[in-house]
Amino acid sequence: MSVSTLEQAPAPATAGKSPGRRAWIRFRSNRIAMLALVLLGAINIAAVFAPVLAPYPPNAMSIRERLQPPSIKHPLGTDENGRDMLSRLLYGARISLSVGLAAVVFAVFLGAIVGGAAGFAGGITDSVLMRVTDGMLSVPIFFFMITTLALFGATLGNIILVIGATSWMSVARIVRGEVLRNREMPYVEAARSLGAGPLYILFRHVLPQSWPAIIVSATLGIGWAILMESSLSFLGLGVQPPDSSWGNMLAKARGYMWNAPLLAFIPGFAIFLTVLLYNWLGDGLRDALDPTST
Amino acid sequence: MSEGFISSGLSRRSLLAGLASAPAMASLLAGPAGAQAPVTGGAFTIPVISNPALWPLIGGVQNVMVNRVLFNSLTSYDDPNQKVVGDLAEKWSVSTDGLTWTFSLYPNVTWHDGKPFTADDVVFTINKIWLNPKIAFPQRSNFATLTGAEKVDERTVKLTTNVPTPALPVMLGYLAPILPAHIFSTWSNEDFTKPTAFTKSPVGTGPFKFGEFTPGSSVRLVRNDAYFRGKPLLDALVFKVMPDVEQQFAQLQSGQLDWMIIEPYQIDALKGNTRVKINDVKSNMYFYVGLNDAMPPFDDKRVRQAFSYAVDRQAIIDGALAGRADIAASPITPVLANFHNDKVESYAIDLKKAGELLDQAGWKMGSGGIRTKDGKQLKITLDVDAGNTTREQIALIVQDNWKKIGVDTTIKTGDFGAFVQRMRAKPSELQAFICWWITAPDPDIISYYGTDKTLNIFAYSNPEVDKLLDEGRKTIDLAQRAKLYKDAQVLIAQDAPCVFLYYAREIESVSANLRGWSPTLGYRYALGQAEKIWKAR
Amino acid sequence: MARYLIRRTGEAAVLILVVSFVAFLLVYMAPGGPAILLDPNMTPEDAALMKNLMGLDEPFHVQYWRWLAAIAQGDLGLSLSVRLPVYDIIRQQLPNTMVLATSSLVLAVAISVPLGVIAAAKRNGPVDQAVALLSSFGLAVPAFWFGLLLVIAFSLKLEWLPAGGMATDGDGSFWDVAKHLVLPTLVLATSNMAQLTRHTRSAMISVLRQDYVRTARAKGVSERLTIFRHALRNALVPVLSVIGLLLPQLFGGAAVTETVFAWPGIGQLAVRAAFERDYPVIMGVAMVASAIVILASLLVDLLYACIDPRISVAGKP
Repeated sequence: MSVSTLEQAPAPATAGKSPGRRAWIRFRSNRIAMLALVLLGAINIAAVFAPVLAPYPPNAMSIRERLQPPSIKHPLGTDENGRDMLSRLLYGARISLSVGLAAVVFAVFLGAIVGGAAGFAGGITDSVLMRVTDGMLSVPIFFFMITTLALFGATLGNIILVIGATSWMSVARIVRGEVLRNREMPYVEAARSLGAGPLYILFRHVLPQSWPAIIVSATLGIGWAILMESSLSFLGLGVQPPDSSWGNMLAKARGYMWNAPLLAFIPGFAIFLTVLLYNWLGDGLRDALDPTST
Repeated sequence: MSEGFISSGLSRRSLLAGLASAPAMASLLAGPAGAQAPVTGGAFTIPVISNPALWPLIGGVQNVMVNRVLFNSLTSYDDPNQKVVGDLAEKWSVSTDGLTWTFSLYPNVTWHDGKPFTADDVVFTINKIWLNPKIAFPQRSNFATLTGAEKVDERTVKLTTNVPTPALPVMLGYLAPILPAHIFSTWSNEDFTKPTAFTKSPVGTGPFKFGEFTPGSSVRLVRNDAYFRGKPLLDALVFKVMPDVEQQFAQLQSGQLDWMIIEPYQIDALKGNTRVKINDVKSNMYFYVGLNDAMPPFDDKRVRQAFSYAVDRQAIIDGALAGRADIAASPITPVLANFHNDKVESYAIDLKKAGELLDQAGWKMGSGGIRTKDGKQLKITLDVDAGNTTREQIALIVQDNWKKIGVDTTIKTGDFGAFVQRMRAKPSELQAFICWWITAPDPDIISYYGTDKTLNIFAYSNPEVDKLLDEGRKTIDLAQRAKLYKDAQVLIAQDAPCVFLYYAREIESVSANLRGWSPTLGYRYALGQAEKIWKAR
Repeated sequence: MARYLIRRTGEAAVLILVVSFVAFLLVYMAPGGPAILLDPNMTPEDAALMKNLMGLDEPFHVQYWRWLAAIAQGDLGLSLSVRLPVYDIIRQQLPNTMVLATSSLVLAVAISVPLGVIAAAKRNGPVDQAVALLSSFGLAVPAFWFGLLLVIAFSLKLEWLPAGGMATDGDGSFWDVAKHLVLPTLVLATSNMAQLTRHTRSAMISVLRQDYVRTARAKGVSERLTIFRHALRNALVPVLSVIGLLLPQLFGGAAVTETVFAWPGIGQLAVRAAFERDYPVIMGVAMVASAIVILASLLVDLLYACIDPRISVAGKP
């Protein structure tokens, strides 16, 4: 992807290969990260193909078949409305994973803008924006998330916006650092002299430079966002039914913990596993892309 | 007239009721413990969803519950069927023109601070608070016909109305506590907006007085030894602040709570738990699918009837309410035994008839099983508040039922507050919605079904019904009044302004050792008799 | 040093002001209005009257300025739902959150620092891997779900610990509160523990790479002594700053944990207030919680500056 140097001495074993190739070799040797990659691939594919894979429509209910234990007909049993848990889990994955992904995309976008602006403008703008970034990290932001969603409504869009708007800070720092490092580079100077604006330079030159760090941060961010959505769901401020996210399936299932514990166990475990895998993947990527850290 | 959704918090998650005939009803009063002499001491601990306000001039279920114990009203309700009985008033009579009511008050009533309660307190509360437009009082619309109160002597007050108001004694018992004149007489209107001095240590006449308020944790009310109905048996009543219903349920199971309203689906989890008993309480509450009678397609009576015929109420009751509710057909519940009419069109499920009615209305079956008229498909948006399993289940069943007659229903869930606002907007943009009414035990439903009345959220209008309801609210004679309301119910049922679903019951789970708690009255009113409650060892 | 102190304090003050503005703006822009105005019984006239009495129909700057001026005098307004001063409510519930947050932080530090040190010392060994696995579990588990599992296991099945609340009615002795504190502390500490362990480990590893540690080792100082005497002290400096960053999460996490366990703190208060649209409480809690966290971070930063003299020159790293 990027031709310019990553500014680090290549490890001897992988000398002569491109940085991406070297990273892949390092990544491949990390068994946990590979496992995470494979499983996450499977989970994401399952989510994409939910309409094909799900044995039933996710909202097809049958009051007579409520709260059934796993059977051949319903491999994971049924919920309080007699809906097939496997189907709901698959469709829930779509919402949960999309919320995570969308929130992170939004966060990366915001972070790139803030970090880019801070880096390019420098001076007072830089220091104000960085104080804002620090500030976001030093207030109990969750209170503001709750308030916003309770007051403005917990719609899918609002949830993504709120989670994204509170998790862009690490990306901003990364991008700003990269901008500062690249600002004086000859090719940036050249682009500038050709009349390229800061946004162009940011997206054309700087972001490609910082992608390894951003990808690591974004991968960890997806797990975080899925966890956030489930916390918000617990408080009644997550994705609203009839859309089913793992978070609201779990929140709903809490009421049946006493007589149908499996109902809560399944989405809870799905969240736990997915977040865990994203974290493992993120850690693996960090080790592969940036071997100097840790 | 209604308590409406006073319980925006609790009701959303747990207030919703529904219970079948309860065999376990043998009564907590009698039963094997009937012979036992009451035991004194101990505390009765019940959950509230958030910090209660010790301020009687606002709604909200947690506030109503606490204030019902701290304060008394002129009247109250008792078994059977929530009949009106005296509370602070010993007896009352009405003049022949139906405009003047004379209430005799109980002697020996004292305020919690030791001052005597007199007619002055009643006169002050009515004239200076209820009828003062500068002070916010949620129940003001219940007293629209009341013109004032007048002291006859220390023990007697005269209330006057501008039209005969048979519902007055009922309304006087409905969230209308009498407040101490000796405290409030010096307050300005402005002071009533910042009532901190009072809410820090409220003074009422009730069986328990203010003990301690630990925000976020509990409100503790302690025995009022000077209570005029006799010294209460318990030492204390504790309202525990517990926002999470599952946490409440865990504490109920482990015996840390003595009472809780539960959802139908929670009943199974209590099977085999000997610490608790379940009561089925019939309440003056009914659920419905509201239809916007001013908006197509529901501006056509035949369409509304067809939608009513298509709904499988028994499936709702069995599936979503554990069988604990009764099919509804009219807006006056069987709790009001004198006024309820069980001989109205009940729209027992009949898909064939529903189809015929839709055909007549011009909605012909089209491709894909969806009916169409003038090239438009029969698509309905059904609103329901998010988060309550029972109501969501109902929405799903209704959606499924309507599909069978060629209706494409989209369920829209949303925040309760926003939902209520949209419902109240005039004209309303809601098309169909699942909601409920709970009212004082009086049949006056003109606010809900009278043309253009404030709570007529269906935009229903029938001049004949208007006339009957208007007549009904002014007729003092019981038999005559009952006839008017029974006739009105027939007409309303025919018009199908909404799809009546079921008469709800509240399912309460109480400690097995609780005594003196009526299993049929409902907690709102049972708490008003808190002096009788005791716990067996 | 003095300049740094003044600058950091100034920043904290500005941040608190910004927070107040954001909190107020959110509430001001919110559609609908307080829940008590949604009571369908209330006539529109009464609703308008109440809105007017609460001062909610005035322009933004008037309301904001009045609110800010009142806060300056310690007056956070009157709760719309409870009709008590917000200050009184927060004053009574805040200590409970502080107890919970402190015990969680203490637990997290007490477990994470030793674990992180051991993991670093035995880098890539089985212990390190086990610690890494445990901490990745801790980061991934939904807190309320974990809490509920604990309640089922320890309260309902084993009946060892209470399911929730802060004290048994009529008790409230130290041991009684301590018993109620166990499960919420564990739940609130879980994610912090995981993060802190990771940070301690990486801080230790980078310290262990440094020259003086190598020198100490080369001189034949025992491994245990090297780690605990020399390395740990230096590693604690970055760990301290991580604790500063965990504080906001501790308060935010309290909203969920307190709700799960009916713990009477300000997290639970904030959640209820948001649902009830109790504006003065929403803003009051946001202000107070933010101010506490900001001041605590300031304290940590200053402490950090004292320990690590490089700060005064280089600014924040």
